[in-house]
Amino acid sequence: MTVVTLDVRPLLAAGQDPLESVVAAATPLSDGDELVLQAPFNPLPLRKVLARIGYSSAAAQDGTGVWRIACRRDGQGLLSGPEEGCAGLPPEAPLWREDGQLHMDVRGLAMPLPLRAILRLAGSLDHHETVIIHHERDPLFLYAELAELGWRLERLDDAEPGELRFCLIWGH
Amino acid sequence: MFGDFMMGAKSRLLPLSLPSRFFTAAALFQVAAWGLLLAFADQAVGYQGGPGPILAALHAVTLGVLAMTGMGAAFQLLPVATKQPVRSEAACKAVFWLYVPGLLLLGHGMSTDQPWALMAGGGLVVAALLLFGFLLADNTRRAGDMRIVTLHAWMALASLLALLSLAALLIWGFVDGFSMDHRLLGAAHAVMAAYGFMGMLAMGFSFVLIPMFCLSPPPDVRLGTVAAWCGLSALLLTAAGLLAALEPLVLLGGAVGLVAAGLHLRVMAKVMKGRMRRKLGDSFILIRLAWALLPLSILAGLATSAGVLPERLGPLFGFWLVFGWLLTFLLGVLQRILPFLASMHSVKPGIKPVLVSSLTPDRTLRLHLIAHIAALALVSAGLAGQWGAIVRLGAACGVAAALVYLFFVTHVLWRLHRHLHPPQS
Repeated sequence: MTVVTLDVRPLLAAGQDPLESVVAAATPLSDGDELVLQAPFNPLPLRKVLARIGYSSAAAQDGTGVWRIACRRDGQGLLSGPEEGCAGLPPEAPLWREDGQLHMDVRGLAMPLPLRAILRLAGSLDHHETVIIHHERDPLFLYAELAELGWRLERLDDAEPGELRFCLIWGH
Repeated sequence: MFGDFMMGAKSRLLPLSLPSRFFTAAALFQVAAWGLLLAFADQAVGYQGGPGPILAALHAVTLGVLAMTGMGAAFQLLPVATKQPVRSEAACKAVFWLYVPGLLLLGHGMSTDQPWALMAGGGLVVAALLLFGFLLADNTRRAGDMRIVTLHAWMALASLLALLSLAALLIWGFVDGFSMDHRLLGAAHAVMAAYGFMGMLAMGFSFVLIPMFCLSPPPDVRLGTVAAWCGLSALLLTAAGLLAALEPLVLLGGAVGLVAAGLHLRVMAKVMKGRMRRKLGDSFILIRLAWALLPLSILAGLATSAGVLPERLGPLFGFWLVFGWLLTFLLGVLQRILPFLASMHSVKPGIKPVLVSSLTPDRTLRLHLIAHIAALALVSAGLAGQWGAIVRLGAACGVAAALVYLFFVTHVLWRLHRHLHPPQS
């Protein structure tokens, strides 16, 4: 069995989408071979892409906070890992990268799941990363909690009707 | 950089002076309540109701601390939970200025049995609570989500109307006298006030605050709804049983209340089990203690109704209900909420916001925790053993705890003031 390790953290840090590199690394794998991804969060959208082309993956976070995603081509496309899915986030909080920018949508989640999801995300991010948060309410309870972790939210004006959009940024 | 930070949030909050006046007044009334218990500890032993300083002490907690804080918290937090602003800030201020003088007069009337003070104070307090009830109903009516919170709010409002009607009857009875059993009427009033109005508010806010403090998954709304309806049924059965002097109905109400409390605590236990935040701090020692005292208070009430050691369990019932469950729960919650609110209000363009951790004086809160628990334990022992000196010792610990808590409130507000208005060098 061959194990290939790919650390996607430098790509994410450079603002690049790691999908192409991951697919390139996964394609030559034979049955029984394993691709291990190292990421600052559980890249659920990326894993779903891999699942659609027949790769099963299992996610686990090590003691240093790094996520290790073990992917195998078995034709089943199964996802396994923490019960709450993406970076310990509820599965209802999609996290994706669009034009190099990370987004999270917490609309429709019951309280306090948005609070929990965003705090978990903040805890797993590198400090240079920013995330666009799509929310449906002014997250009053979140500001002080984020300030405690060293993060802040800035309100953005380009929200859709009924949406409040914020940018999650490191530093006060 | 700081211009945008939390500014949106701040615009959704009422000015801090509004909730803080309620919280500060509540801290002062807590000192007064324990002080009255300290001064008249011997009268607390075997207390079965009726006018006097113990009744004033109980109302200093229920109206002065619990309802006062409940109003401040509701004005501040309910609009956040329901996404609906408070209808009128002026009305909120009017509630305070009707309520505080009314409460002082009512307390004077209760402790000295002065009819004019009872009438005047009671009138002002009823007016303030009705105005609060209107504002609460208005906000709850416009809320589109948070159904479990609004359900509890509606039940609290219904209880408020019932308890105010019973209070008016009681005052009328004290002033003019009528044939109805004052003790049973007072018991129905107490049940509606403590388990109904304040208990429902406490349980309703728990569905927002406890998961937020713990960073847990959302609470089980279905089980919470069953608990709430059980609670309302228990209130109705108990009040009807007391007013009709039907002991079996009172016992049935108590039993249903015990089920309601058990279901509510089951919901809270599930919330705690799924929490993301592992270290919850001293405030949750108080909250857990309060949760333990909720069913204990009902058991003591049931035993008293059944005629088991009423001279010992009757006072214990009142103490565990008011000082044990409600006051202890509220103090635990406020220790988390006050620094949080102050941090929310600390936003000023160009200034780094004050952190919650810097507003939480751990040693002060640890001292408060020790003194409060000592007070609960000693007064409980004194009431159970009918030892006035032990009750007095416990009340002295309570005064110490209340003074430390007052220091905590003023410390948080002073730190915020200094943050927003730094001294000119």
